[in-house]
Amino acid sequence: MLLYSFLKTILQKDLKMKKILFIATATALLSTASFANANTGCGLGNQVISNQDSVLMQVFAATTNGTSGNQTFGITSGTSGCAKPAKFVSNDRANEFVAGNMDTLALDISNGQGESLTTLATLLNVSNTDVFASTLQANFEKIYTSSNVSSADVIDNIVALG
Amino acid sequence: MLAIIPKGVKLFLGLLLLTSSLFSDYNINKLSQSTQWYRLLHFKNGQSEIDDKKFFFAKNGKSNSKAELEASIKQLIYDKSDDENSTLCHYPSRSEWILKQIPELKEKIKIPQCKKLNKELKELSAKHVTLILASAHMNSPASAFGHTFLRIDNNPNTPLLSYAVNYAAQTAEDNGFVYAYQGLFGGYKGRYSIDPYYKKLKEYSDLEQRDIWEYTLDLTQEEIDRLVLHIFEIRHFYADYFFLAENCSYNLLWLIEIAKQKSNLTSQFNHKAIPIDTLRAVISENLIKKTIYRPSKRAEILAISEDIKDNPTALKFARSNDYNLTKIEYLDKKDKIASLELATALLQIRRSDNEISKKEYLPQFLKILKSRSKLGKVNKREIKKPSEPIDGHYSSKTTFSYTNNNSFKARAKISYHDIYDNDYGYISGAYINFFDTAIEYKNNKLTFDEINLLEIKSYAIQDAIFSPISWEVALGGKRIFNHELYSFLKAGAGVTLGNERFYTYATLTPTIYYKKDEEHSIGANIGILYNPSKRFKIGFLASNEWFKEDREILEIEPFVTYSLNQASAINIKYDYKEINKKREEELRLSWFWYF
Repeated sequence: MLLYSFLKTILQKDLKMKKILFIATATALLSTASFANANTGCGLGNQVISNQDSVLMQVFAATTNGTSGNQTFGITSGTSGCAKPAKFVSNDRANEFVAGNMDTLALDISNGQGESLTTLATLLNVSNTDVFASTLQANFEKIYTSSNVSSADVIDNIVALG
Repeated sequence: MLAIIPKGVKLFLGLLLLTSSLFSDYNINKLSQSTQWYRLLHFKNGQSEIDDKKFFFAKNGKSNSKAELEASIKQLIYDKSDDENSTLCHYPSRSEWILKQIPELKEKIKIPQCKKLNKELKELSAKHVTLILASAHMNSPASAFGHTFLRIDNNPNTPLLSYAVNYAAQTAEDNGFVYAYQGLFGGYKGRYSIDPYYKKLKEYSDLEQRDIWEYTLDLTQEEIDRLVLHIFEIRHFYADYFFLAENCSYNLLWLIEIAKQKSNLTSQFNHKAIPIDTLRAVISENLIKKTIYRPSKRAEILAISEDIKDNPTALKFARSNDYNLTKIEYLDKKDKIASLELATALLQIRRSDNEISKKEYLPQFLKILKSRSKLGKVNKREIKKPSEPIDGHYSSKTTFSYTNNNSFKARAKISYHDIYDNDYGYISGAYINFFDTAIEYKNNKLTFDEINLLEIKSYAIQDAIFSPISWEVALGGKRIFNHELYSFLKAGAGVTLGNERFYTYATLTPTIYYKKDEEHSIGANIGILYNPSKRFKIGFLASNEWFKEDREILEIEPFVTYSLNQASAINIKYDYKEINKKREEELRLSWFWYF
């Protein structure tokens, strides 16, 4: 009831107020705030930052589908651009994978299970995945030693456990 | 003597020689009209859909498949480029096909090594192809139509090492109007990309919180090789991108069709290709051998939070900003684990929303993980599979109604899902409609009733973890005072509570009407919706709209929808209206026909 009389007052008496309301709505619809994607690097904390699309952009995106900034053809062949681990140089795919999944792998290791962990086990030709997972979990601190740890360090640290 | 003959004439002479030997032996005419040659050129309705001139060797190659075949053969024979840039390495898909059709050609051409191509092919080592559907995400009607892409697998047990093949329009546009216009009318270039699958998962599953459905295609190794080779040819070229028809999902069909020659896919989509419809077409051609559901991060988070829903200490820790570990020191192990895992997930969301900096994020992230690593393993949490998008109603709709006022009504829309439709297979509360037009036939008179050019309702349910804002917009024309037709633009926001089967929304919607003069209004809308099964949906919708000079419109509409199958449903709706206190009532029986 309160809302009703409030709206009624706005509508009947104050034309200016209405204008402001519409302008506010329109502005909310049109404003955009985009964040750059910081998705490169060889360490932790490089996850994709979301683009805060405006409602208007969402409305139009709704009519549409599948756009991207530019064409990529990212078939890897050990070209992650990250330093290679000292003890384990020959496995480019493993290097690439760890560099691209630093945070996810840290999460899976701390949980003692997860898809990135089993994938790494396959890449390293580990036969007993369960033992591998629990060993890594128990040694989490020795693998992810600090915020500055690089993917090469992580692989070296994992190999050192074996 | 030969040196003074212009190049063009030389080529012509060469062609003449060929014509007498190879060309006549093999019916070039027939080959150039074969289904597979058309497909390799993305040829449909008399011309190729590829708009990149470099794709064609013949000047009129875009519209003449025979000229293009002859020119391609000629190009293979007279190719002077070095190894990597040779026709065979640069156009491997058509080259392979031509050499297979005309084996004698092999003796006439230099077969290059294609080192780069072979290295990439080896890296892929394609053994399986999977069609991926990233389904819609709550509160993002932008995702409502879903998105499809292909995944090239070497080992089905390690999909994170697979590659995603994605067709997309190339643009960095962030002005919505420009984006929509260019997108609808072919202003952007569409190209195929390849990326590691884990990158796509980060984008769709983690960031956008969308469920992923993986459909393994039933293809032989020969068919897979053909598909991959075509990607390596077509990647160099673009086609104008049309959001409605020649879009991301449609262009995958070319690849599948080239692999599976007896399938017929692209011909089914002429004016619109909605991702879910392209997936249904692939299924109806019996091309799917396995389906895997990959829950979104959001589903995982809700599953973790379920473990500690009755433990406020554990929840409070997960939602805190400083993650003071002493607060959960004395919790039992299971709750402690869930609390830490939920904390990590929410921390990651805060980081990806850019609420905290990387510098603030990292020490907290490692602190929580370290603590979690000391607690061992828990059984994997069960995540209930939601209704599968392909099982929902079809995406276009026509409604035929009869009312107790002896009138007939009909309405039709291009797509997609409205509030009266059963939500099964769709995201509850996410409604999006295009070009919804209604007409009425009463007393031998046909009238234009209403049109919704675009209508989006995003009633995103708030739960223990996520608190999205609901919003709606609509643009169209409808009859209000004195049954006169006004054009209108409505936009507003509100809140939705409940669960996927039973929810209530409340929104406020300012609206601008126009008919000679401008009219403004504010509407308050509430609705209660109950969707207990694949068959039933019950709803109660009410709204009141206030205009200046004490005028108002009240509308109350309870309804029941009973779905018979994916193609049809019966709807009964009672519509009560008061326009400036003047009552109008109507009971309406409708048949929804989806196609």
